[in-house]
This record gives sequence, structure tokens and C-alpha cells, in this order.
Amino acid sequence: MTTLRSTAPTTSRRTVAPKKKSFLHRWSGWLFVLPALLFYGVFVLKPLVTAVEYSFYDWNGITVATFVGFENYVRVLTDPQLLASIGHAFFLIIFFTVLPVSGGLLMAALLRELRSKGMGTFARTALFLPQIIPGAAAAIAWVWMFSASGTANQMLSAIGLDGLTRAWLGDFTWSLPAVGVIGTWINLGFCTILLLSGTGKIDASIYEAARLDGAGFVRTLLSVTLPGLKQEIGVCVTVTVISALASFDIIFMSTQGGPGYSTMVPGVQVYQLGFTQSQVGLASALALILTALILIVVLPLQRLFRSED
Amino acid sequence: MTQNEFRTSRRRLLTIAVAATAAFTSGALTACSPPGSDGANAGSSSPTTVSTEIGSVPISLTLYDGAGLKAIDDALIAAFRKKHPNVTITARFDPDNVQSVNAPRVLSSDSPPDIARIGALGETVKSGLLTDLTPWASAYQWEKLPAGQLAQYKSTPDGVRGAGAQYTVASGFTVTGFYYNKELLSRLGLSQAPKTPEEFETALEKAKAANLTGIIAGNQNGQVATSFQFALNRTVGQDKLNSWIFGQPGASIATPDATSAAKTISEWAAKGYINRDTNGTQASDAMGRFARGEALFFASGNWDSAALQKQMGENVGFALPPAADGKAVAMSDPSSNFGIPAKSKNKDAAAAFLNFLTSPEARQIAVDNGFAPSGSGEQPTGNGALSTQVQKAFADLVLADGQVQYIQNASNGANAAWTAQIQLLVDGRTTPEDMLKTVQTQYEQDLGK
Amino acid sequence: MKAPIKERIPGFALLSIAVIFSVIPLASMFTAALHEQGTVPVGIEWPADPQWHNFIDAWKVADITPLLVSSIVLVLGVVPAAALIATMAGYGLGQLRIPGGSVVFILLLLGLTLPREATIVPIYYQIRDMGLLNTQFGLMLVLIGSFMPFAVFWMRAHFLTMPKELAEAAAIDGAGAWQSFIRIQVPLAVPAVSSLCLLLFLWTWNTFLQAIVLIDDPSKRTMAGALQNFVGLHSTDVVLLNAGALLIMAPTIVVFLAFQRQFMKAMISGGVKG
Repeated sequence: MTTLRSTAPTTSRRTVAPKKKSFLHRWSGWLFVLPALLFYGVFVLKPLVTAVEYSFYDWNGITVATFVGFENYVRVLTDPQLLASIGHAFFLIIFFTVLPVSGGLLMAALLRELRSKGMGTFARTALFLPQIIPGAAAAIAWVWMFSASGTANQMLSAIGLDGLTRAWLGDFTWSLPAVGVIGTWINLGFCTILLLSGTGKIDASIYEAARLDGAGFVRTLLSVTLPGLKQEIGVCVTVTVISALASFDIIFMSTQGGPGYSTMVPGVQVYQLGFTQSQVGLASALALILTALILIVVLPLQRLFRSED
Repeated sequence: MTQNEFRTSRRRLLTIAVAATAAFTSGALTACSPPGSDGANAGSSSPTTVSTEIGSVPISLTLYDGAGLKAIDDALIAAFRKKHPNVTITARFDPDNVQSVNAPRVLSSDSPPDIARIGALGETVKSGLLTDLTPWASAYQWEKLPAGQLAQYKSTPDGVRGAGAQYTVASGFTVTGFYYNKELLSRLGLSQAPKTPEEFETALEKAKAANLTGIIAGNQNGQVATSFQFALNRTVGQDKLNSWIFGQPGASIATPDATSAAKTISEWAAKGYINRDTNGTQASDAMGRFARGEALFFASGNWDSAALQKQMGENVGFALPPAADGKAVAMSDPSSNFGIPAKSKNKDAAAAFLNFLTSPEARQIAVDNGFAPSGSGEQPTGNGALSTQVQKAFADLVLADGQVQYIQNASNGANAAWTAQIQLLVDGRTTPEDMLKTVQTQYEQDLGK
Repeated sequence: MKAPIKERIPGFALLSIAVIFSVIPLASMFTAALHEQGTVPVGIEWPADPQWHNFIDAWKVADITPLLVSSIVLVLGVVPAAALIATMAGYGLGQLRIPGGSVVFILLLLGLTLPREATIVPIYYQIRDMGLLNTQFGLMLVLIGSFMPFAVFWMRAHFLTMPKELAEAAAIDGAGAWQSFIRIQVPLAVPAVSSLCLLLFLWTWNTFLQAIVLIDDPSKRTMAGALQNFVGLHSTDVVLLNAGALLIMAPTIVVFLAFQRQFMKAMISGGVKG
């Protein structure tokens, strides 16, 4: 003990003394980080912890809550209607992720190939526009597109497919894909532009080599562009998957989850449970399960797309 | 830094992190008793001394209502201010469906409005959010109001409506029925609007045969529920239905009588009596299409009369829902059921406003805005043929004591449940039995039975 | 070297389809908005007699002026504050490399994937208990908090690329950390900060969920949040509804067209870095 006592201060004095200034200096750096941490802690982490707490209670938001243990979680994982809403969110990945990423890849390759300046700039602006308007406004535009007298039906009639016209958002079979199309519309431009900027980083000589090998557009796309854009595709997939699983604005403004429950997604369900039906505990449990699902899907994606960097 | 030092400092750092996270989490968790136990809703809900005098000191009140009622509220506030120049009432509006959703939360906030439209009266009273109006009721003699109206103002402390103490006064009443297109009616060879369920069904058949839409409804907002409840009112009966909506213990909607009403609607949908795209149609679109002569009937209420009068002129009529035994029964409830939040600080002034709602001036304002008047007394004059017809229908309804509440107001989750279920029903994706069972489950959950 | 014309035709066709797909919803709103009020236009169709005054009427009906003011107030309350706080934190994490910084970093990483729905219910009650419900101040606080993960991330990435010698040189000159931050680091960070501001502007302007939950009075909400109220009140008239909705999205479209390049660059690198 005594040896330790006697040696410890000396060693530390010896090593710390010259560093003292920088030690203080380094800790004073926390003052720069503190405000951000405070905001983040109070308005993101604290509510998150509170959500965990709420999820163990049966609470109507007003009177005293009752502790119910894991009952809310069991309910989310067994109630067919709530499970269906989670299923819809995963279905939307087809429209929010698969179509925009593959479409974006094609568009990026085409824009690169055509190298027409005027058309290129115009196309980029037009494709990107949906990404910057509010999701709620996008929903209004598409409610009009999909209405009985809307442009979607008008175009079908014009090509002689009158038999297919319908009120798309009111149709049990078609409402979910129709809502999905809105997501495709929003995400396509983002993916195109991101992937296009990625193609700029691919060495032009590789394209030249492929051309000399006699590779056509499709071959080049599959064997040069696609592998070269691995990281960018990863980003597109991550961002769009989150937008599919956590979708709210579009559905809230277009169908409110109807007809029936055919377009109900967890985001809208959380809002309804939490604010309309006063089931704060159940809403919190569903929100947390949604968060967990997003993490479960997104984290492996990071590995998948970044491993070989 | 040596490799070793680096490792220890890293480990220390991790320990700090873990400790900090743990402290943070446990701090947040242990610091709290169950949510809602912080006494946020403590407020005196039954005062001892009240006054009908509001003096001349400046008082400012806030009123909270659905946006669809802005016109009538503004007119009422202006008229009230003429009587009491020292009272300023500021109105705040939300979209109608949002208002009913937000109301409980707005009422329990620290600065609640002084006058607010109450959607789910029973649940609100049960949560202790409203002021018991008994002392003012005797001071202003509200017990003399028509019994059918008073029932809609009352609730017991445990949330059973229709009995107990008074908590609200209405600014006016809605009344439902069906609008009919006169020209189409005569084209089908019918001289007048159907009065019995049989006549109504015959008219639908004829319309179908003539390739016309019988009933147009915007079921994206669950509007088929209006026609459904017309049938429900007959098969279940006014008293039983009201007691379900009022939340009487043991009440159920999953009964054979209710099932037969649901069957009627699903048959109508299957036969094409209701517009095929009803699930993709908004209520407002449905009204617009009815006005353009696309359908024979439009089941709705007084709130559409001004617009229809303007667009259709003489070609539109209004009638109460068909009755089996000649007794008029229809959904009719307060347009705004105004209560005074427990935490309001100006209850005497707010109560004076509630009392004003049954005055002749206020009754005239209600009628001018297309609603049926609150309280009783001389019938105010209507404007326009359709409005007069609607007012007449309401007077008949009150005379027959046939007011029924809306099934959507049975509980907080009832509206969403009915809307989704009735959408499934018209598309043949659920059976009448299952629909009613699902709604009953939601209802019991909401009421905490 | 370009491919022969013949080979390029299918490419042009595909691209044109995608462009039409992107533009048609807005174009069809636009043509609908020019029809006579009270009529129901069919699909996309240029009216014989375009009613340009519909936009003026919709401006009045939708009460755009207070909405515009309210959105601008929110942006002014959120963007500079969030950018400053995030720049400071980015400096602390990326340049000063404060002890324990990696923990902060990991905590923030969690926030990047967190959906807004996860915290919206507790946030409502928290803001209520703070007495800030229905105030723009409450919404501002929540937005600043929710933007922190990305914003700090973004600024940290910038400061990581700055040479460490800069700070050391400043320290030798006797400048404190704050002075070196203000005098040397911030001026160098202007491009990164301005891209960040552009993104923060867009996200604040387009905020929907938090706006409808925390603020009851539509005239105090964001433009996007006000849409909900507007649709509730005016869905009867397709023409006015479309005109109003276009007006509500117009500001973002105008800002986007003006700062197109910066927007795309910011959003793309935002995606890559995030």
C-alpha cells in the first residue's frame, strides 16, 4: 500500500505535469460539445427512455397509469391488425427501395451514356424535384393523380384500358401499391443523382476498356457501373429502407391507413393509438418495435455494403 | 502514449460511458412514478359558490371548437359581446376530426380553453377534465330545457352518459336524413320522397334499373355509416342504441338486430345501390357529385344544406330517414357540446356564455348557420326552401323525441373502427357479424371494461 | 465519344418516361388549379380559359401570409441555432478530439436511424409539461434536438479533414480554443456550414409530424403542417385545393431552383456521410 501510495503520485506528477495544459485544454473541448449533447439528450434520448417507460404501462395520457409489464409488446406481436401494419411497411420497401434504386441505377447509367448536356441538366432537375417538396404535399398531388377523375385514369383511358380505371386509393388491392408509387416518385430522383455522382468516381478507362471489349449498354451497366457503385447503392438502400419502414406523412395525408386497414403502417398506427385512441403504452411499444426493426434491417446493410472498402 | 496506456485509457473511457448511460437510464426510470400521477389534472371540478353576474371588469375567454363551426361561433361570440362588452372571447379552431381527437389533451394542458367542444363526454368526465355545472344549472334554471337535449349534456362520474350531473350546453343541433334529387325522383316515376324502408328500397331498385346510382357516399371518410345507422336506428331501436353509445354497462352492438342492419347495407353495396367507388370517394366529393345529379339520394345532415341549396336550387329536398312505424328517429346531436374545462379560471363568465346559447338571439344564429336551435321557444325563421325543410325535420324529430347519438361517438376509438370496418363491409371483405364484433372489442377496450 | 444515334433512342425514351413520371403530378395539379372554381377538372388538361386569379383567391383562402411568416420564424429560430451548436460540437469532436468523444459519437449514431415516430408520443407530454405546447418555441427546441445527430455528424466529418496543425498553431499564438474556433475554424468551415444550413432549412420547412402534434393552431405551424388543416377545410373544391397546395410548396421549389447545385450536392454527400 505504502509503496503504491508513494510511487503513484510521483509517476503521475512526472508524466502529467508537462501534459497538464493539454489535459485541461482537452477537457475544455467538452464545452463545445455540451450544447449539442444537451439538446440531443433532452429532446431525443430522454423521450426515448420515456417511451420505454410508457411501453410498460396501460395509460390513457390523462389519469394514473397501471403497470402491465410486457403486455403491450405481446399485443403488438400477436394482434393481427398491428402485425399487418408492420407487414405493409416491409411491402413498401419494394416501392420505396427496390424500384427507385434499380430505376436510379438505370437512369444514372443512361445519363452518363447520353452525355447530352441540356437534357441531362433538365432531367436531373426534374427527377430531383419530388425529393424536396414536403411529403404531405406529394401526397396531395398524388391523391389528385389517383382520384376517379385523375390523370392516372385519364392516361389509362387514353391507351384504351378503360377497364382498369378505378379510384386507386379506395381499392383494397391497389391502394397499398398506389401509395408505394408515391414513395417511388419521391425516392427515384435522390437515388439517380446519388448514383450518378458515384459514376463520376469510376475510372473512365474502365468504361473505355469495356467498350473496346464490345460490351453493350447492359453488359457495361452490370459489370462496370454496378460493382463500382457498391457504396452509393448501400447509402441509397439504407436511406430508402428507413423511409419505407418509418413512412408517415404520405400515408397520413393520402389514405389515413384505409380503405379498411389496407394501407395502415406503424407510423400512422402509432399516431392513431397515441393521439386518437389514447393508448399511450401500446403506441410506445409499437414505436419501439418499429425502431428495433429498423435497426435490425439497417445495421446488417451497413456491413453488406461496406465490408470490402 | 504506449500501446498499453492507450488500452487502459480506452477501457476507462468505456467504463465511464457504461456508467454514464446506466446512471442516465436508471435516473430517468427511478425518478418517476407511473405516468399521469403528477397531478396534472388536479383542478376543482365542482365549485361551491357561483354567480350569474359577470360584472364589468375585462375578462378574456378562449373557446376551442372544430373548424367547420367557425361561422356560427364567430356570430355567437359577436352577439354575446354586444351583451357583455367586457368579455372578449378568442376562438381557436382545429379541423373537426382533429378537434375531437385533441380535445382531451388540450383540456388537460396547463392553459386549457374556458369553453370547449366536448366529443366523448363520458370519457372526459371520467378523466376529471370538466366542471360539474350543477350549481349554474340551478342558477340559470337549465333543468327546464327539453329532456331529449338535457340527456346529451349529462354524465355520471364514471362516464355513463345520459344521466348524472350536467356538464355541457349545446350551441345548436345537427340533424340527419337524406337529400333527394327531385328531377331524378320524378324521372323514376316517384311522386314524393320515400317514407318507409320498403318505399326507400323500391326507389333504390328503380334507380338501379334505370342505371342510376341510388345512394352516393364518400366512404373514404366512412360515410356509408350514415345509411347504416339509419337502418340500425330501426332494427336496434332508439333507446338500446343510445344506451350503447352512452356507454351503459353491459351494452353491446354485436347483436342479431344490429347484424340485420349491417346485412341490409352489405346487400345494398353488393347490388350496386351505393356508388361502386365509394371507398375511394371523399365525403365532400360525394356531395359535389350528388349536386351534379349523379345520384338519387345522399344520406347526410344539415351541414350540407347551404352548399346543396346553392348548387341545386329547387331540385333538392330533405327528409328524415325512413321510419318503420311512423315514429321519426334520426341521428341528432349537439353541433358543439360546449363544456367548461376543470382548470378554467373564468367559470362564471364561461357559464354565462353557455346560458346565452339558448337565448332567442343565439337560436336565430344557429338557424342562420344551418343548425337546429338549442333550447326551446319560438321556432326561428329559416332562410331558403331547403333550410326550412331541414328545420321542419328537426322540429318533427324533437316532437317525436327521436334523437339518437352517432355511433361514431361511442368511444375514442369508435370512429376509426367504424370507418375501417364499414369500408371492409361494402367491399365484402368482412361479414356483418365480424364487423360488429370488432367494433364491440374496440369499444370495450376504450371504455376499459 | 458518343454512341451512334440509333442506339441512343431507347435510352432517351426511357429517360423521358422517368422525367415525365417526375413532373406529371405537379403539372396535373397546375392545370387543375387553373380551371374555373367549383368545376371538377378531368386529369391533366389545359383549360380553355386559364383562371390565374385562382392563385390569388387560394392565397387568401388558405391564409398563406401568416403561414409564410410562421415558417420563416421557425426556420430563423432553428437553422442558425442548430448550425452553430452543431459546428461547435463538430469542432470539439473532429478537431479537439475531446476525451470520451467516441462515446458521444456512438450515442449520436443511434440517433441517425431513429424514426421520428419513436419519440413523438413522449415528446408531446414532455413539451406539455414544459408548458410549451402550441408554441413555436417548443417546436424549435424539438427540431434542434432532432437535427443534432445528422448536423454534428456532418460538421465532425468536416473538421476531421482539417489539419490538426491549425489548432496547434493557434494555440502557440496564445489563442484560446474559443478564439481559434471563431477566428480560424469557422471561416474555413463556411462551405460545410452553408450546405448544412440548406439541408436544415429544407427539413424545418417540410416538418410535418412534429408540427401537427405539437401545435394545434395551424397558423403557427410549418407550411407542410398547415396542409393538413387546409385539406380538411377545402377538400370540396378540387381547383382551390390544388392551387393552395401548389402555393404551399412553391417556396421550397423556388429555393431549390435557385440553389439547385448546392442542394443536390448537400443531399448527396449528406446521404453518403450519414
